[in-house]
Amino acid sequence: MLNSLYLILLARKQSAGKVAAVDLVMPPPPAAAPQLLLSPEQRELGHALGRFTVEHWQVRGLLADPRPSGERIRALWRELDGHLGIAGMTVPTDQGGAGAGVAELAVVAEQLGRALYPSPLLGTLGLAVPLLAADQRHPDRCALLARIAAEGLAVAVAHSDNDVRLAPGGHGEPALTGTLHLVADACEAEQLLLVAEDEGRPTLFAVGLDGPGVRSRRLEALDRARSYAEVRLERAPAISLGAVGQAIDQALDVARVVVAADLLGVSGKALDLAVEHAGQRVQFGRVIGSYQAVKHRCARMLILIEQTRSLVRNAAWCLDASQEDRGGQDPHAASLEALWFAADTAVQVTADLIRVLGGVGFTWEHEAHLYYRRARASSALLGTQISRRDALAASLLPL
Amino acid sequence: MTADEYGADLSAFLNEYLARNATTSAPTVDQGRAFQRGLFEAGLAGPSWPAQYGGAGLPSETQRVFDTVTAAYPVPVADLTLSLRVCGPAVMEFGDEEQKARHLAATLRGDHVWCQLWSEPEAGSDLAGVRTSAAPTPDGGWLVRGQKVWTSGAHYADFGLLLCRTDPSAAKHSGLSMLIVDMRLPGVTVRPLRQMTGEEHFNEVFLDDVRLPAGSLLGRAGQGWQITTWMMSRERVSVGLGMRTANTLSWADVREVAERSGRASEPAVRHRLVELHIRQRAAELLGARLSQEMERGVGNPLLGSAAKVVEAAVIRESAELAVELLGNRATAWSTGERDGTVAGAVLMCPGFAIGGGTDDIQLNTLGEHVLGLPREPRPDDPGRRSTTGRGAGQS
Repeated sequence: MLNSLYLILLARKQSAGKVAAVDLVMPPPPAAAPQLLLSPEQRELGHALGRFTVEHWQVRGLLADPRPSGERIRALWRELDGHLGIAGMTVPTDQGGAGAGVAELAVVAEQLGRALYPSPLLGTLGLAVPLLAADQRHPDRCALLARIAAEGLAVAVAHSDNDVRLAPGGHGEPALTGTLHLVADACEAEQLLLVAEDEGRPTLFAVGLDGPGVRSRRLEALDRARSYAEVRLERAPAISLGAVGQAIDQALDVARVVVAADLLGVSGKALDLAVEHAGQRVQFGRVIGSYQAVKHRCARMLILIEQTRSLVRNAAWCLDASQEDRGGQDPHAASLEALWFAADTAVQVTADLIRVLGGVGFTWEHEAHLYYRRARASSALLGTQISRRDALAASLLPL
Repeated sequence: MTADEYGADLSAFLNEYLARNATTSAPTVDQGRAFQRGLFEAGLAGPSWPAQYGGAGLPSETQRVFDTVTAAYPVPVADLTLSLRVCGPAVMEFGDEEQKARHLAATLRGDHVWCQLWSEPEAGSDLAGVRTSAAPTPDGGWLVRGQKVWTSGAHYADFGLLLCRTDPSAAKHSGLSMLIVDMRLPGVTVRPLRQMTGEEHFNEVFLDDVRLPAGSLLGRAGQGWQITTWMMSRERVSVGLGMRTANTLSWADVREVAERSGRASEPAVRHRLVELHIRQRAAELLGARLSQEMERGVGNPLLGSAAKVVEAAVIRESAELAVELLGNRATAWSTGERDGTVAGAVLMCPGFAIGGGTDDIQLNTLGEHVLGLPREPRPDDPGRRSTTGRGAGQS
């Protein structure tokens, strides 16, 4: 048999000769290889989440009008937290949390994505916890972390540009004024974190979303499982949480892995639905999954998904690993790669699901479009495919 | 010895050995054998193989240390990798004590180099249709007749693992066995085939009344297909792993081509380079993950087909981008000029999508044996339906 391994190694042989010809310098010290398998505990966490969503949530609920309200999503979040203690999982143990890593968070995000279980996981654990935990000397940050762990406080984070500024005058409590045009997870959230300048320095502030001076308006949304709101602040009382520093970039790395893992779950579910249908639907006297045109489409979906899974695990590992262990790997690049690929995959795979289903896949009654919506909308969260590519270009190909 | 200590010793060995033996041309199989012998004598070969078979006897995770460390060096063992990663492990998994004693340490030392005598003129994608026959002889041996084709490395291999029909009356897959063939026995004729690249790396192998001695059967009679699929999964995962350094044109090579072409700052070029980088990382990490699963014995080994398909795709995309960057400098060049390597890469690409099973067959494997979709009806095996459920992603 013409052996593909042989061909690869033949190529390696050629490139080996080539490298040796240039120079034989000491290679960089080898980093620990990324841990790409789940531990038994992480697997069990995934199973527990899977069971919980099956028992407590029906994705078809998203087909009804109106979409789940902020109160409903908050109740779902508390229910999830009550059963499995999810809200505090990545909160540091000093603040009453479980101190879990991004690897565990990704396991949870994947399962919630599979189920399209509406939650403020992204805002609360993807963004707020890493932002708050970056400075645990600050008592107000610790208080918020403790509330997340203890009560399942839901938090939204306005991470993109905004025109919010400190309201002039007033010497006591700071107050903020301005408009946040689009904040994800804001309808169910009780607290909002945002960055505004304080004496020229980017500063993290917390605002109570149910408090005075805050007007929140729910937006129509492509994704029926995530809430988006416009938030107007008019001298809204705020708590200063100190300079934000690099923490926002690190939090965004974590958040990207959360979205990527969510999309991994979405894609995995889309493949399962496609395979289920292809294994039952009979045309021309045969189950359609026996035709290579359909079978190969499903196999290509699988290939994309398994690559996504590997990138997500690698990015999570990079974010959890010490700088020494992760060697030359840049967690920022790893998170960008994971989300770029996960979004590309999810958009493709959810469209493939609709194609395999045929006409029924284009109906409102079939839940396929809910996954397609989620995929398309999530790829535009935390930037876009183009902005992620540009960010990677800046680090891979410095001008 | 801990895995870290092993990694440090290995680095030291590689630095020392390669400083003494650096070559500028493509290494020969004999250079590979010499390197492997040096590694063996330093006690560093086969990190996770049991000590009784010449290995270092370390935990299975040490293989990962080996892969990570060696990836950074131009090690000349390409011709031996099929032996070390697929054929040797098959003898370890399915062989009897006598076979293990005879072959394992010798394989690890680079003395026994292997090939796979599998494809035939009439059995390519439909490999289980092989017609080469082996009949038992009174002395407990076998009499082999048939012809093999596309056999990589047969021209230098010492031994071959022969997939052949030992029970013509049994059903297609169950009449097959795996035999160990000494490639120097009378009746074995190896004839090189010239590839489309112009090089000769694979062969036709004629087996004319080859008499194999007793003890040549690997595993049980009728177990041939099971051993074949076991070896195939290992091979495909190893291919995914090979990506890291064995790309025909690595990402770094393509970036270097971009810089050389003076076009590295064009937005469209940067865009394609970044996407290629992401796809290469995805292929590489899938291979790494499946190899970790293989070490631990978890997951579905048939996912190796996915690693192989993406590997071939990334290799093709790398070559395509390099041609786009260089334009006609990639298609005509002076003898010995660097730009000529791009044409070599272009010519290799189609082989990757065929070797070890075509992309199309890999997609069938994934669809039927990983996703559990039904097979196409086949005239020789009506109505058999794959019952394997999904095993993907559970580890």
